[in-house]
Amino acid sequence: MIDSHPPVELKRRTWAHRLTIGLLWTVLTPLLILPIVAIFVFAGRGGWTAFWNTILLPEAQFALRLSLWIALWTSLANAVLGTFTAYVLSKHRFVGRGPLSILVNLPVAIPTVVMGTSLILLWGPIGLLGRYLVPLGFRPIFAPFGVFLAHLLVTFPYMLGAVKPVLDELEITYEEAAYTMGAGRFRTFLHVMLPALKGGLFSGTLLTFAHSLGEFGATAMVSGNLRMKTQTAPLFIFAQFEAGQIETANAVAAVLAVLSFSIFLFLLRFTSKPAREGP
Amino acid sequence: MSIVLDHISKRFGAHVALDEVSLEVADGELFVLLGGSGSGKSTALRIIAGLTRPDEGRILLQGERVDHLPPQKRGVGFVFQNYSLFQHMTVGGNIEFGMRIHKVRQAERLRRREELLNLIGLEGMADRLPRRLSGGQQQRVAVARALAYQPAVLLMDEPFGALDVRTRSQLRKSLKEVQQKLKVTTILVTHDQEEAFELADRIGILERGHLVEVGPSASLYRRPKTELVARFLGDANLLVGEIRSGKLHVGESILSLPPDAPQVTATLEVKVLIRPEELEVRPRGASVNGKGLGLGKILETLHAGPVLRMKIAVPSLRGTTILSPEPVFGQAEPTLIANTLPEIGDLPVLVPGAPVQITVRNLHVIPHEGGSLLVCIDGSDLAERALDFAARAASQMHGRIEILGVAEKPNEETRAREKLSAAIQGYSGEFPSLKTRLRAGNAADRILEELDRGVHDMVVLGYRGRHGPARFMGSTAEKVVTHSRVPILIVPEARRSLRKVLICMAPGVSARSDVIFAGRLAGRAGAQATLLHVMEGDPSQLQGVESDPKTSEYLRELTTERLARGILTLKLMGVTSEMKVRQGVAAAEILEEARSGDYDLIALGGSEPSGWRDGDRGLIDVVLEQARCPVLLVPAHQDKRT
Repeated sequence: MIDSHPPVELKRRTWAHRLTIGLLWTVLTPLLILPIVAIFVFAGRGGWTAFWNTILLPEAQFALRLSLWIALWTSLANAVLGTFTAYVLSKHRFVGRGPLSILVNLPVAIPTVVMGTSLILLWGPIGLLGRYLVPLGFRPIFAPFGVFLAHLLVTFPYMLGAVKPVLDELEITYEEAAYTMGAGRFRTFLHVMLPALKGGLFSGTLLTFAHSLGEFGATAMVSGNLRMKTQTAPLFIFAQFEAGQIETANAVAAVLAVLSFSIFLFLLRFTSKPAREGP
Repeated sequence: MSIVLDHISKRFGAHVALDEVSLEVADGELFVLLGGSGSGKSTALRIIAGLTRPDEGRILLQGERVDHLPPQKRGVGFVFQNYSLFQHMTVGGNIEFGMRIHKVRQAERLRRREELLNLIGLEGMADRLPRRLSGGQQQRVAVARALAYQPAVLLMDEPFGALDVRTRSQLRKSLKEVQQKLKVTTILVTHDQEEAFELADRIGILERGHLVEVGPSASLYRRPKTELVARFLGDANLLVGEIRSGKLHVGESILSLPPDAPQVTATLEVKVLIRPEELEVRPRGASVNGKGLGLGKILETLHAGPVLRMKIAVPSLRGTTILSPEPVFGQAEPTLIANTLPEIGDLPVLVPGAPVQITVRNLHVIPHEGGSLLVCIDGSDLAERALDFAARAASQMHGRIEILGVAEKPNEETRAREKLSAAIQGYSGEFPSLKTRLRAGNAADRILEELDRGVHDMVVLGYRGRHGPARFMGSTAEKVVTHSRVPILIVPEARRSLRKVLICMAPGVSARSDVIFAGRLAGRAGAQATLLHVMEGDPSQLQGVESDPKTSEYLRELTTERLARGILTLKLMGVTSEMKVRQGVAAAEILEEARSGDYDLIALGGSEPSGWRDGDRGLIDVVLEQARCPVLLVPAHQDKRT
C-alpha cells in the first residue's frame, strides 16, 4: 500500500515530518533514554569482574533473591485474589458494589509510602489488629511477610485492571451456553471463563511481578530495611547509593533493569497480538 | 406434547415481559415465536431453558415439570444470537463440549461429532478455530453444538440475526432439513416474518408479552382472528363493513361472504381484511370476474419484480372506516393498496392517474369490537362520572369498556371492591362481556401496565380538579400521558352522550393525530365535528401583522389550507364537519367556543407531552381547569389502533 502512494506526497511531507521526529528525539533523549543508559554505564565502569563481584556479594544476592520471591508470591496471590474480585464485581450485583469497585482501585491513587504507613498502623504492635495479633506471635511488620502484604496491597489494582475488562466484555451468554449443555458453575469457570481470561491473567501477573520488583515506598516503611532480613533489591540500591557505593548500587540496578525490561518486552509482544474475542 | 407453557408470567420491575402465556408445542414441531423487539419473545425462550425464572406459571418438557430445575438439568439445546462459541476451543471441541460434560465415551463422541459436521456440511473442519470461520459457518457450528448431546428440545434466539440476506436464506433451508431429519422439537424466536413463514410448522405471535394468536402461517396470514395479527403479518387493506341479511356491505358495494364468516341474521359490524394480492386491478372496460369494489384511480405505482404495487383511490368507499392503510392527514380519497401480477396488455395502461376497476378475489371477516375503553375507577364520585360517560360513549360506538379498579392504599381496597361490584351490577347488562380487574398500587403504573397489553384504544379518567397551584392535569393523568401513546379522556363531570365534538388546532398543538383519532371517534358515535383553528397572539400584535398585508395573507392561506385538509380527512371518515377560525389566546378561545357551541368533547393533540405544558400553566392545564365537558388528549404518533 505504502509503495503505491504517489511519491510527490511523500516528498512534500518530508520536511515537516523530519522536524517533528527530530524534536521528539531531542526532548525524549535527556528525559527518558539517557537515564536508562546511565545505569548500565555506571554499572559497567569497573569492568565485568567488578560487576560480577558486586552481584555476588551476599547482601546483594539476598536482596535480589528476596525481591524475586516476594514478586513471585505477590503475583501468584494476586492472580487468584484479583480474578476472584474481578469475577464477583463483574458478574454479581450486590449492595455496596459501587463503592467497592472504587475502593479496590484506590491503592493506585494513594502514595505507596502512605500505604506502608497504614499497614504499620494496622499490623504493627500498636496497630488496630496488631495490638491483638502481635502478642499471639503474628508479627508481619519488619518481616518478609509484611513486605509481601504491602506488595499485595499496592499491586492489587494492576491485576484487577487487567482481568476485569475482559470479564466485563465477556457476554453472559458464553456461561449460559455452558450451563444449558449441562456444565455446572465450577466447570463453566474452568473450561469457559478461565481460558478466556488467560490473556488478562497473564499480563496482569507480569505487571504485578514487575511492579513488585521495583516497589520502594511501602516496602521502605514496612520492612524496616533490615540487612539480610527484609532488605529488597530497591532498598539495597538506595542504601548503597547513600553510603556512596555508587557502582555497587548500579550493578544491582542494572540487574533489576534488565529483569524489568525482559518482562516488559514479553508483555509488549504478548499484548500486541491481535485482539481476541470471546473465550 | 414436548413443550408446554402454562400461564407463564414474568415482570422486570414495572415492565411486564410476559403475561400469562400458555403454549403447547408438539413432538418434532418447528414452532416460531414471532414478535417485535420488547415483545417478550427472548424472555419466553430463556424461561424454557431455565436461564430466567418465571414469576408465575408452569413449564413442562416431555411431560415433566421443569420449572424448579436449573438449566443444566433441563436437557435443552440453546443457540444464542451471538452463537457464543468458545473461541479457545476448536469446532470439534465446541461440538464435543456437551458430550464431555455428559461423560459420553470418546469413540461415541467422535462418531457423533463427524455425523453432525456432515449434517451441517462442515466435514473436515473439526480442527478449525471458530474465529477462522465465516458467520454462517459459525452459526451452523452453534446449531451442531446445541444438538450434540441430543437434547429433547432445541431453542434458537434469532439465530440468523447477524447474517447477510443470502447466507440467511441458505441457512434457513439447511436448518429446516436438519430439524426434519433429527425430528427435534424446536422453538425459534425471530422478528422476521419471512423467516417465520419459511420455517414454521406453526407460528405464535407475541405482542407486548401476550401471545395473541397461534396457528399455521397460512391461516394466520389469510384468516387471522384479530386485527392485530392482520396488520402485523404483511400488508393489509382493513375496512369496517357490515353484514346485513347474509350479505357483506362495504361502502356502496355488496360483497359475498366467505363460508367461515359469522352466520347472522341481524346486522353486524365486522372488519374486512383484503390482502393486497387479493385485489384485482384492471383497466376500466376490461372484463372482470368476482365482486367489484367499483371504480378507482391509480395514485402511485411501484414495480417490485413481476409484482406491480399500487395505491388506488376508491371513491365508493367514502364514509367507510379504513383501518389500514392508515389514512394520513389531509388525505382526500379513501385509499387501498393492491399487489397484482398484471396481464401483459394491462401493463402500459396501469399508470398513475389511470381509471381502473377493482374486484375482490378473496376476503376475510374479523369480528369488530368497536374499540375498547379502559376506565380507571378509584372509589371517588368523579370516577363514577367518568365511568358513566365512557359507558355511554362505548355503547354509542358499539365498543366495550374494561374497568380497572385501583386501591392506592391498603385501606382503600374494600371501598374499591365495593365500587367495582357496583359497576359490574350497573353495566354488565349493557356490556355482557364486561371485564374488570382490581389492582393495588399506584394508579398510573397499573394503568400503564394495562395499556401495555395493547388492547385498549383509549383511557378514561375522572378529573379531580385543582390539586396544586399550577398543575391541573392530576398526577395520574400526567404520568399516563407522558408514558403512553394511547389517547386519554379526562371527564370533569357527567355529560350526555357524544353529539358534538370540538377538534382544536392551534399553534403548539399539533393537529394531525388528534383530527384522525377524534374524527374516527365522532364517526363511530355518529357525532358532528367542528374543526377550530385559533390564530394565536394578543390582538395588538396581530395589528402589526395586519399592517403587513403579505404576511397576513400568507398566514390566512396557510390556515385555510390546513383546515381544508382537516375537513377532507374528516369527510373521508364519514364525519359531518364544519370549520371555524378564531383569533386571540388559544386557551381562552377554545373555552369560549366550547361554551357557546355546547360541545360534548374537546380534542387536543400534542407533538410532545411537554408541548402541552410549556411553562407552569400550559394550554392543557387551562382548558382542563375551566372546561365543562370531557377533554381528549391525543399524543402525536399515537398508537395505530382505534
